Amino acid sequence: MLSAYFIHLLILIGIYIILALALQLALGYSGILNLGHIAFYGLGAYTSALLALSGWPFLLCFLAGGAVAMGSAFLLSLITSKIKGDYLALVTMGFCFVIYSLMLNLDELTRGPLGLPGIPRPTIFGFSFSDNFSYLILVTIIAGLVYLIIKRITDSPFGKLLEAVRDNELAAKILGKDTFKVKTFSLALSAFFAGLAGSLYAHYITFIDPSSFSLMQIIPIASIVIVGGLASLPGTVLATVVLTLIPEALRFVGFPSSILGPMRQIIYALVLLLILIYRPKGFFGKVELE
Amino acid sequence: MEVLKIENLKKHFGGVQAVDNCSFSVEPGKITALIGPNGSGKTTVFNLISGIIRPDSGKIFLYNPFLFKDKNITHLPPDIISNFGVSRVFQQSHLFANLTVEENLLLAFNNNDQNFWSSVFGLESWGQKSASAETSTRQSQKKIVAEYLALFRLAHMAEKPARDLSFGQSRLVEILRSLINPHHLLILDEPIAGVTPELRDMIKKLLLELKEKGETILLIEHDMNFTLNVSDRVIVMDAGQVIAEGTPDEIRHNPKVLEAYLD
Amino acid sequence: MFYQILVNGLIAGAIYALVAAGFSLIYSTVKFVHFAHGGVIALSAYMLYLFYSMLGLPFWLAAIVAILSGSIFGVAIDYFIYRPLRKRRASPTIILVASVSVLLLLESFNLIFFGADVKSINFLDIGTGLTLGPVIITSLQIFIVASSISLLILLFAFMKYTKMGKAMRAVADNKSVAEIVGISSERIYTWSFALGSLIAGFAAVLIALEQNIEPTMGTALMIKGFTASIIGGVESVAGGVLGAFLLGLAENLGIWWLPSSYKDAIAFVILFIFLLFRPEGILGVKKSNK
Repeated sequence: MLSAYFIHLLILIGIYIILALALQLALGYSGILNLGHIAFYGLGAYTSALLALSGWPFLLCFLAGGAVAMGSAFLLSLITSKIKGDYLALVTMGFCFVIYSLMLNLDELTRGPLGLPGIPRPTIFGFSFSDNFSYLILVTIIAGLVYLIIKRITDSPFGKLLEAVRDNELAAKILGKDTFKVKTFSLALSAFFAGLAGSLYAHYITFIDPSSFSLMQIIPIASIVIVGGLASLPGTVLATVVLTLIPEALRFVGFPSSILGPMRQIIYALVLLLILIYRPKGFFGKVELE
Repeated sequence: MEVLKIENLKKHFGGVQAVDNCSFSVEPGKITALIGPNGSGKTTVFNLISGIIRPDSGKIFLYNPFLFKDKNITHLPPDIISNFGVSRVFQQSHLFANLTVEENLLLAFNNNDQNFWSSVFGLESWGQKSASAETSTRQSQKKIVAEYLALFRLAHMAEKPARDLSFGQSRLVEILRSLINPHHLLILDEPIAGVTPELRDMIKKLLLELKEKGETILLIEHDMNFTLNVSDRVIVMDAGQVIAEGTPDEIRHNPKVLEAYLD
Repeated sequence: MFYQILVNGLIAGAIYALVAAGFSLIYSTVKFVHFAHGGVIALSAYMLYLFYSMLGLPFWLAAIVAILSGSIFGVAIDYFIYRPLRKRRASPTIILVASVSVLLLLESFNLIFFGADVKSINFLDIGTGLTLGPVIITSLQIFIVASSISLLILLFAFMKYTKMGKAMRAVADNKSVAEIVGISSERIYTWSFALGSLIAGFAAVLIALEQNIEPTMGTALMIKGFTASIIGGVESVAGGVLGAFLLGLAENLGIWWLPSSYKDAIAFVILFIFLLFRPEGILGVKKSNK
């Protein structure tokens, strides 16, 4: 039998795989440098949690989490249609910060820094996922489905079109492609899956507060995506597993828990820096970051 | 009836008048060459035609017998202009570097790939071909691509990413891509600059064959010999203006052209 | 009340101006967003805490050490992170991602070595305010505004009259032309980081005196400094300073109506508006779209 701690880790890995695959779709396949990915994760978590607390069934909360994130991505894409390069990266960062401020300040809705406790564990068609083992199965199934869907998208002509836009947007336009529509679709899909991941996180931990969705949370996810390699789905999965487990080793070395959090951040930041400097293709990627 | 008609086009960058009251037209079924010294505004005219930049004033009309007569395309975006039948090759490589050569070419056939549901899940949407028809067209597209690649001795590169192509090979693939892209007018910006003599002859032969088939081509080229050999009409630009127009023979003996080049 | 807001805006602006001036100075030569500039400020503030409150050095000596260490951190970040990235011709966007990682790295270091609790430097008594007509202002605040303005004047004089200042402006204006006349751009980058981060260290000392020191202060300050630069025009130090004072005023006017925790969100809304409608800033020159 798997130990409780190991099951916990596997559930987190499953959720991170969904979140990282979603970023892979926007960043790796479409070249959209979205540093506000965590905002979509947070929107999914808060939407799903708030609806569940007001009595909605889990499946609807889950899908609504994805849908709200998707809707906000659509809006973000519309207002940033004219912005490119590092300005776009900064605006998406700003978007993340605005969403974070809203979580923190819309007290009546989100309870601000106090967070939302008591989010119910999912029940689907009468089956309750209240113990962690059944939750692991749920997360595994959903992560597997998301993987297959994203693989299907990226293998299709639409996926090739995404990569074409990433490699050379002007050339895609000259071939008559509506690149804005394509990128908007990609960002919206990416946000949808990130929202689903957020919902799974909220219903697993059963408590969320704004601190889980701050700007800096993008670094672990970006590390995973870039270490795994842009436009590589198996690489993403492997990188998620490895990069989630490495910091856990610290726990056994005996660091006090107050240091564990920042140590984990340092590891992610260092990994990202080293990969950017020494191996910008990641470990399984064919595409170099430009 | 002209395929393309340009009227009093003007464009400036900062203090530089890159295109200054430029007017000319392109006749169907012919190869028209746009020549002129460096900085005379030729590529800017191409950028204006394909909608990458917008003119300060002036108009651009397009004639496409399947779609419309005399459509004013002056302020339309590049993708719409492309879909109206203008296919372009850039001066610098604009291939999709991480996609294979075959994928680069497949992207040019049509815009069905933009339809997410039918493209990803094979779902039929209203007014569209069924999924199985889609697959069979995909097969025939691959066949066409394979034939083209074999014709230009590139078959062995089909599965390689475009970034692995040599300079000359990538020029060829780019020309092929613009041919596959549905069009009524081809505009080529220096298609033979920097390629080997053999490849130059190959491209020359291709252009003449295309003309035989009734294609309309507008090209920019610095190689005078090549240009005067392949083209039916030549337009000479200098300092953003058209200074001469005529058959290659007329241009060869036009003192104004010589003067512009000697400046 | 209105005059008090004006004065509060001026004080906030004086601090933001130092953040923005250092940031803009660096941006103008290296042409990428050095987001870790905020981390340098936070780290310098902790250096002041370390040398003054923990090791008991005289205040002025500790302040000088803190300011100099800011400069050293800035140069070190450039040398160890940005320079290898420049060597492999990474795009400004990739360097931005690296810079965000560095910021997270610095914040995590602060957390590990100094803890999550808020620190304060009790050097000057800030309790007593002077009443000047309709406004109340503390002597420390007068000192902050005065020293910030004097430092900015010194900076402008440096940029205008010294050889190094002129060389910096030459590289900012056109790197290749500057190189043709024999100015080494790499050397100028080092000097921009040294000088920009020196100003960051100075800002850190003032902020440590007026506000508290906390591990995440770098991100918050950087958002302000960056917004100020965008408002004024990111490539000009003067623009950054102007933007900083406008931002200080806008924030203090804004929290007249909104809860004060929205202060950071105000900066972002302004940042959005400028990025969307006037990305070149107030003093910036629109580049021709060739």
